[in-house]
Amino acid sequence: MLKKYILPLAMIALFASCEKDDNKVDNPDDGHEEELITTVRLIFTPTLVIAQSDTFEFVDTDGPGGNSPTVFDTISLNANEIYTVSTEFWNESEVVPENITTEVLDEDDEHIVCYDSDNATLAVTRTDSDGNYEVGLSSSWTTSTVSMGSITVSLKHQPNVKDGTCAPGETDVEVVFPFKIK
Amino acid sequence: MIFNVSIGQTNCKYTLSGTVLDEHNSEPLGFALIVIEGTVNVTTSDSLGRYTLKNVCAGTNIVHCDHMGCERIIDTINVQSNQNHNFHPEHHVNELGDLVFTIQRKEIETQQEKTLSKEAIDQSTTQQLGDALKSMQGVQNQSSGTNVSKPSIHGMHSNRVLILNNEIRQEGQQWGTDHGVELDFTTTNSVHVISGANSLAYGSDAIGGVVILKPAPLRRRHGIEGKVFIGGESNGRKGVTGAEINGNFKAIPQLSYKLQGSLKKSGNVHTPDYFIDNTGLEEKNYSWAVGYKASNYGIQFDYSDFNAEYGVFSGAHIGNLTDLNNAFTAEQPNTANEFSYDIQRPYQSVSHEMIKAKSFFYINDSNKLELIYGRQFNQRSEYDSHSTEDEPDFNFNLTSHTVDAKYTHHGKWQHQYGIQGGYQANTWSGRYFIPNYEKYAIGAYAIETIKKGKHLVDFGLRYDFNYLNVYYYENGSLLKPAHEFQNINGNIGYSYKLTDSLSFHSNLGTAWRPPAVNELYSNGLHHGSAALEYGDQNLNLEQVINWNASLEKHWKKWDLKTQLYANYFSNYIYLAPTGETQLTIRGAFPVFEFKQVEATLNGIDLEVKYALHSKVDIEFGSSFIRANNLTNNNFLWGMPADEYNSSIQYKPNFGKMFQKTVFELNFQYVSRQDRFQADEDYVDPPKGYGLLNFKAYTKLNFKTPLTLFFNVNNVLDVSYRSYLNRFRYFTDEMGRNFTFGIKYNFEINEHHHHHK
Repeated sequence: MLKKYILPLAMIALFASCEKDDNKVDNPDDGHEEELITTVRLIFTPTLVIAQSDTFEFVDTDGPGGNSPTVFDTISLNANEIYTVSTEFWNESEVVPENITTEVLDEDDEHIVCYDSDNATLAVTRTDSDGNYEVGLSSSWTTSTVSMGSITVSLKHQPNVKDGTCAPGETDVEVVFPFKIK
Repeated sequence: MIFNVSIGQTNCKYTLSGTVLDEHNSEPLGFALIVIEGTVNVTTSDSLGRYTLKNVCAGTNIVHCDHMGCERIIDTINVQSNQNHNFHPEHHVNELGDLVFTIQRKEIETQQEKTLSKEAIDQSTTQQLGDALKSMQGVQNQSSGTNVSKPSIHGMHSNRVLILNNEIRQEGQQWGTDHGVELDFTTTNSVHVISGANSLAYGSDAIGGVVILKPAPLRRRHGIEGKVFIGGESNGRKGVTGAEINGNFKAIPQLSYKLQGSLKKSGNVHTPDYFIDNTGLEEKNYSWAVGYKASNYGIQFDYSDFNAEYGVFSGAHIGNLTDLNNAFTAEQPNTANEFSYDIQRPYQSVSHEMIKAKSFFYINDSNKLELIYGRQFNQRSEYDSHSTEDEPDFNFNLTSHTVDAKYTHHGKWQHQYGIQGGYQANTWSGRYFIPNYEKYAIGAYAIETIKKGKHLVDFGLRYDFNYLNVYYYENGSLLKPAHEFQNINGNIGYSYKLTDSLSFHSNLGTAWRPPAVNELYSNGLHHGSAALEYGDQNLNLEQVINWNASLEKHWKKWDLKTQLYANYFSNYIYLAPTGETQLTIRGAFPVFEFKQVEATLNGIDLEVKYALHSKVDIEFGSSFIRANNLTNNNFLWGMPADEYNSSIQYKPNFGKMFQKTVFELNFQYVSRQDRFQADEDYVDPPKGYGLLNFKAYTKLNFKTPLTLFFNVNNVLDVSYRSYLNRFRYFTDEMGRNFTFGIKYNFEINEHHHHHK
């Protein structure tokens, strides 16, 4: 009598305990990357003369791979000027562009923006702080003589390892902008 | 019971006869003892497995069949006339009592097989599958960090190796090396590794070979047996525990059950110089089975659930080539250098559920039917170091159904015919890596075996058809491309067994696999590796022609085992550098594309054992692989380097209390892989290394035995990097590691009447 029930019960238990799989194979996701960064935007405001702000960008709307970057500006600056620069990161792969800068700011103790110029005619210092270390979303750029070069703008993610330098962590952004000082 | 032998009485005039056949392969089993319970009516089977019991009384008879190395069978037979009844004992490695039978049956007769001893399986309790199998010559551990590992057979792994766990082909996200094998190795009772493309009955795609893992069979005698074990490792402060009970009902001797569970927990492991950050793991697994087994038919249900969380070394999470360069030029990783059990981002969370239903039926003495259905559900979530929300960055669900119908005939010719069908569906969410797909597969095979004296020949044919339907969005529109692949495999094998001291096997066969979905559809930055990887939708199937030959010879003091193999591919699929770089917001990345090339992969495995003394054995083993890309006239990427093993075993006799005591000192030397193509990798292969390992094992001979082991891996605390570890760019391997384990086997017997 026992044996009459054990096998059917086992079968029911077996199939009832199955985890569910979703059946939307033929209706796939269109893909969504958390915190994808497609755009680096640098907004320059001169401090010694009164003039309009200038914006320079790197834009790769479909993210790494796929199509080539659509915008890759040369940063064009005036000689002997001091600019305040605000650096922004955007995800423009979505219909409504997402401002990643605010997320970086929310986690400013895990992030640092680094500026590395290959020519002494352009010097950059970070002007903001997370309380302990600089962040670099705001910076001051000082130009001297007419010249050309390149500057590497990078965003580092440094959870638990931020020490004020650019060495630790993972690189989220690294764009080598050419610059010319007129 | 009443002593009821009453020859001459009219109701005891019947004859019970039949054959005793191996449950597994229908080989006749001679010298089995057949007894009618409560009587002295006893007989043994002859060399062809036949038996005859005369003077059997009418009515219900309980008949026992015992065969050495097998579980006792107790069948209830209602006798009303002269009757035929067959027994199908199942080989079982009995750990209880002081005699341990280690009769290992082979899976394929014409093939050399590599197995792990019971003791080696015990000593692998705390390890992952890849680690456990690497002691076999020609088998390596292909890994991504310390938690993700899989076996590599003769330089082939992932999609080229078929893993058959409890008779079901393990289906997971096995593309690439960054996904492990999602199974609980503590349930494994026996391991067979078949190297070479000769496994038609298991699948068409075992290009490198098959790993066959089997749990303990259900108990078929009244009572309950079981085991409880705990184990630990000093490095990572790992703890492993588990238990298994296996029982059989007295009231219904055909009905058996099994219940098993295990837990694993580990924290950050350390190299000789530093902790490898975020390398903790956690596993929670359980399984159960119920089976009903009559003399000529049976049915069994199995369920298993595997759940794991694996920390991914935080220093291996790199953003671009600059990070990668910093990582491999750094003296030590720029990550937290402390112990912790916490698993933080990045980590993987995986579960694997399997259900299985199996039935078999003996049509008659020599014909058997089997039907196996399996459903697997594999879920994988990967969490990057980035997001702070609790959402995974990407998520895969893979559901697989397999059906396997098999007919075997045992006779002068052994026939094995089978049909296999499969369906698989993959869905994903989060960041794109591979698309959704549905895969349909069907295959049919026939294998014939004939044995004549010392010679055995087998040959077989297999046909497979695969249909792959892929679903993905491109520029906002849904694309549904389909792929069809079909092919025929053939195999011919020969084995010559002069005596137990000399045997020779040779096998020629083919295997093929359809390109995996990542090889067809990868598109973009590969998670964690600084490369842009592109699939090719026009890839064709990959087929290998494999030849292997092996020789085993035993002299009085010497043992020799060697295997030679050669593989030829006209269309080997691999990820090839294009030489181009592509600019992204993270900098420039090299571009890789999946390509097919003509390739050969040849090698030799060698094992020599010498009995220096009755208690001391010396062993030497080595494996060499030579793999060439004939299209480029260069080397194939990522192949295991030459490996040498030497060990000395001391088997002292500490009296009756200690059984199977072994002390072993082992030195493994892995040379640097010098056969590589410079532009295919960011860094040249790491230098060679030598590791000293120590093992101690014993079995305390209580009424129910207690197994103990204590191992030290990397005794000299050597800093090294393995070429077969994808994380070799970022960190050294684990340093010295003390491992221990205790296993207690128990048995609760319900006493039944014994014949004396």
